Amino acid sequence: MSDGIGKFIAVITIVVIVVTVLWRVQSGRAFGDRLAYGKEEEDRLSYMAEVDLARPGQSYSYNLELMARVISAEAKGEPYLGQVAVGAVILNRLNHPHFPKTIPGVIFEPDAFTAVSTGHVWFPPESSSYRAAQDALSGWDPSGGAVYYYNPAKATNWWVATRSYIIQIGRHIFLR
Amino acid sequence: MGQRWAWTVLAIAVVVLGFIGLREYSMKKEAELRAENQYQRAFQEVVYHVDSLAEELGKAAVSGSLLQTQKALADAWRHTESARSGLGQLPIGTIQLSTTEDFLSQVASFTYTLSQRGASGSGLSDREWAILGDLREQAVFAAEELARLGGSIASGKLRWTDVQRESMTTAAMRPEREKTQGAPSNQVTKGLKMLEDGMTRFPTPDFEGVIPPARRKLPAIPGPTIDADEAIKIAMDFTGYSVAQGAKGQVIATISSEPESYRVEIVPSRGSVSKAWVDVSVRGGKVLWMYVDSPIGPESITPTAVVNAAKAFLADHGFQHMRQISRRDYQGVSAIGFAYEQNGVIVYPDYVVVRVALDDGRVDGFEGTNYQVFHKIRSLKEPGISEDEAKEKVNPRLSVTDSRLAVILDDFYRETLMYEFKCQLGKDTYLVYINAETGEEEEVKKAETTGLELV
Repeated sequence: MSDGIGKFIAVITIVVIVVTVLWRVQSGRAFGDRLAYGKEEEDRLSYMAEVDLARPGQSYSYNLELMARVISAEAKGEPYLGQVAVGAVILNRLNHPHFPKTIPGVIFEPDAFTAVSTGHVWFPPESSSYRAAQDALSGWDPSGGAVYYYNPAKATNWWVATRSYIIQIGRHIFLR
Repeated sequence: MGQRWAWTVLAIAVVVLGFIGLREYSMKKEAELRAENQYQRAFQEVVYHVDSLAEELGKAAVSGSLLQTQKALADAWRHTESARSGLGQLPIGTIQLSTTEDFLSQVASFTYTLSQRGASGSGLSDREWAILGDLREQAVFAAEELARLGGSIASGKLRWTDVQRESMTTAAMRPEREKTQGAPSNQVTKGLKMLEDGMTRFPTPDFEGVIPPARRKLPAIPGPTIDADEAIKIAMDFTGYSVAQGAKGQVIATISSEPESYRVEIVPSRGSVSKAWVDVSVRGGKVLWMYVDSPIGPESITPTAVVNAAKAFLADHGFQHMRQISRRDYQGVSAIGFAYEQNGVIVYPDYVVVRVALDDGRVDGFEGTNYQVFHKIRSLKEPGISEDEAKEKVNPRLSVTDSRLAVILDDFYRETLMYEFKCQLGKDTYLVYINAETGEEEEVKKAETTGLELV
C-alpha cells in the first residue's frame, strides 16, 4: 500500500515539473523573451499606438492599410457602396470636434470600432476593401456625411437613438 | 489496481488544469494591469494639459507684449491638442462628453488662429480678449473638476478597467433596452458627467468670424426643387443607361445631408450583376456623384487613353474648361482630379474626380459635390502684384519648376487669388502659395507623392 502511495507521489512530482517547464517555455520566459509570433504582434501594436500621423496625407500607405483593414472587418459581405461608406465615416470623423484628428487616432479610440475591440481588424483584409478605402480617400462619400453607423440586427450603442438618421446601406444604418 | 490508476489520472488532470488556469489568470491580470496603467497615464495627461491650458490662456490675456501673447496662445493650442488626444485614449466611448469636446475644439481653433497672425499681426481686439477671458474661466472649471476626479481615482479603489467593462456592457445593449439605462454607477462616470454638466452651464462665446465654424455647412445649390422622377431621369442621362435598353432606375433614399439629395439606384439590364448609384441634389437637380459597381478586368489601356477618356466624359457631361490637377492609380482604376479653369486661373473649389477603369477605359465613377456647390463664373480681379514680384517672396533655396494663378478656398469658404508655385527641394515637391494681392506667403504644402501624382 505504502508502495502505491510512493508511486503516486512520484508521478505527481514528475507531472508538476513537466507542466512547469512547458509553461515557462510556452510563455517564452525560458528563453528570456517572448516567442517570435507574440513579440512581433506586440511590437506592431505599440508602434501603432505611439506613431503620430498628423494628417491623412501623411504616411499614406500606412493609413490606407489601416482603413482597408477596418473596412474589411466591419463591412464584410456588405455591398461595395457600404464599404466605401465605412471608409468615409472614418474620414468624416477627422473633421469632427468629438473625434481624434488622425486616422490611427480615430480607429484605435477605445470602443470606437467593434472590429478593433475584438481584434478582427488583424485578419487579412479582403482585396476589395483597399479599393473602397482609396475611393473614400479620393472623395466619394455614400454615407452622406455620417460619423456613426450601426447594424440594427446586432448589439449597438444606446445613444444611437439620439443621432439623426441619414441612410441605410446594406445592413448598416448611417447616422450623423 | 485499476481504480488506483483512475485516481492517478484524475489527479494529474486536476493538477494540469490547475496550472493552465493559474497561467491564464496571471496572464489576464498582467494584460489588464497594462491597460489600466495606460489609462491612468492618459487620464493624468488630460488633467495636466487642461490645467496648463488654463494657465496659458491666463498668461495670454494679461501679457503686454504681442510676442509673449502669441507664445502663450501657441502653448495653449499645444496643450489643447494633447488633452484631446488623451481623451481619445480613454475607454469613455459611451459617456456623453460632447460639450467638453466642443469646448476643447473651439479653444484649439481659437488659440491656433490667433497665434498664427505672425509678427506683423495686430494684438487682440476687445472682442477676442473677452472671448479669451470666457474660455479661460471655462478651462479653470474643467481643470478643477478633472483634478478632483483624479484625486478620487488616486485615493479610492477606482479603476479605469472597471469603466471599460461598464462601457462595453453599455455598448452591447440593444436599442430597445436603452430605457433601462440608469444613473452612472461608478465614480469615474459620475465625475465625468459632473464635468460635462458644468461645462454646459457656460454660455458659448460668439465666435462668428473669429474662427471657422466647427461643423461647416456647404452652401445650398441654387435652383428649383426637383421630384424623384426627374432625379431618375437626370441619373439615367448622366450614366448613359436608357430605359429602352432595359435599364431600370429607382430612388432608394432621400438623404437629408448638405446638399440634400436623392439616391438613385440603376440596374442596367434585367439580371445584370452590375449596379449604378447616382446622388442627385434635390435643389437644382445636379449630379453630386455617380458610382458604377461592375467587375474590373486586367489593365489594358495606355495612360494617355485613361486621361482622354476622363476628359471626354467631362466634355460630354457639360463640364467645360476642366484642367487635370491630380491622378491616383489603384486596384485597376485611376482617379483623376480636375479643376475648373477660368482664363488660365485654376479654380480649386470647382473640383471633380473622375474614376476610369483601366481594363477598357470606361468611366465608372464621378465625384463632383464641390463643383456643383461652388461653381460659378467668377469676376476675377487683376492680381495686385506681378508673378515676378511674387516669385521673389518664395524661399530662394527652393527651385521653382512651375507657376500659375489659382483661386483657393479657406475654412470660412472665402476665396482668395494666389500665385501657386510648384517648387523642388532635393526629392521633395512643395506647393507655395503667395497671395496675389498682398504678396504674403499664405501657405506651403508638401506634395504627397505616394500614390498621388500632381499634374
